[in-house]
Amino acid sequence: MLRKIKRCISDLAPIEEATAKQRLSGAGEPHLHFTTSARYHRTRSAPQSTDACLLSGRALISAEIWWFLFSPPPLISTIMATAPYNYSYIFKYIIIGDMGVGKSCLLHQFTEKKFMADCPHTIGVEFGTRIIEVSGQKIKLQIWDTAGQERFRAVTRSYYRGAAGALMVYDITRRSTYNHLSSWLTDARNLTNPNTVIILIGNKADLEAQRDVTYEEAKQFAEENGLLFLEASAKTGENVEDAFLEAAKKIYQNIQDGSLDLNAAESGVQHKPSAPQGGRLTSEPQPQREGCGC
Amino acid sequence: MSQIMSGLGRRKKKPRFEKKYLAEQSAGSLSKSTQFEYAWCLIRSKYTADIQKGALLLEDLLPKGNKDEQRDYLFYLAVAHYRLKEYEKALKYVRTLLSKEPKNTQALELEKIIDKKMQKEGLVGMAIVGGMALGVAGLAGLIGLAISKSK
Repeated sequence: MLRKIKRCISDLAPIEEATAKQRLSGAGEPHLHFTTSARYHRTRSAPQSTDACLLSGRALISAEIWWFLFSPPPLISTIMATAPYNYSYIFKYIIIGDMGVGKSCLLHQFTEKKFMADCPHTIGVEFGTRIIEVSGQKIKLQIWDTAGQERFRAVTRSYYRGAAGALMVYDITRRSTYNHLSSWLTDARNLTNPNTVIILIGNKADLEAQRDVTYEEAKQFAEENGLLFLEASAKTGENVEDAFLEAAKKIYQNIQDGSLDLNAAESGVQHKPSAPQGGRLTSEPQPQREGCGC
Repeated sequence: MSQIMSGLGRRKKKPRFEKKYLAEQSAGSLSKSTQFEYAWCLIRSKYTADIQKGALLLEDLLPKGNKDEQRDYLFYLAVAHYRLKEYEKALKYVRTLLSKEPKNTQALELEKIIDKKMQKEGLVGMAIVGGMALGVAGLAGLIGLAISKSK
């Protein structure tokens, strides 16, 4: 760049002199006028033209910076497109059930392996992911954890569609949460596809002394409705992994025996996602989601 | 078949919330939950006008709600303003929510996202402004050069 500037300056100098001389020697016009204009021209334009070289040089560099600044997104996406995925399926899950049964705590225990004490009521929906392994296949679980409060019911219903698995949770120490299961089940059946695997989970199994719903009773309810069933504890972590894994195994089995059509729009399963879809699906936090699902 | 159904469902949902809202509004019996559901639906839209309308509906709800409802309104107001790229406002709402519930993980996460986005946009903005300034200066210089050459 320096060389360029130097060249600019040296290039300019003769031109400058030439123009000045030309003007000075120009005939037919008042002499005084020419000298002043030439002097003016010289003093003003000489620094200006070196400036022009310098600045245009800088502008070139800034264009390079621009390219550098704006190119990363496409670069990353091409890397993503060519890099092998470390999972071969994506399963979409939803977690439903009355408020306070521990849906968010189950998710937190599953994704973070930690118990979240006094966790606030979920606003709308939350999201979590984890990669698990079923029969040697890596599967990414995308889990939508819905708010249990009644006023979110209409809102959370929008998230049922296209779920491959549904975790329907009740609290074994509160019978009312168990009694509401039929309404949750109706929603789940109506808003998901017939192949959606539903697993019933009796949470807070660590609070044996306060038990209000027996294991046998819930087991029977599950069998009558064709649901998987487990009692779990988000606090101790007991059966939490299994709850998510059992559902995944069942979904995987459905894929293997052909009863779940992966090409169906609402299977809730993606096989080896291609880059654009993968990008969209892995963008987790809700506020960033584009478009109107409603 | 399921594909057709999903397409229909998608198209149907907004009018569903909208219809309920308009029906209740015209009957003069607009409930907070209907307004909230409609606002929620609007702020998920890809259209700026929809998001703005949703934010207005939520702002209208804010003083009317009880403590429990207000947290929802605040959270979604923050989301709406984030989607409108009004990050200062978004931060204001999410921080109001955090002042009431300092440990709310969803609010904390949202705050982090807004902060990150602000920083990123700030850098890009500076690059654009800086680039433009240099470009303009360069152009002015080139014009000057051209003038000086032509004379």
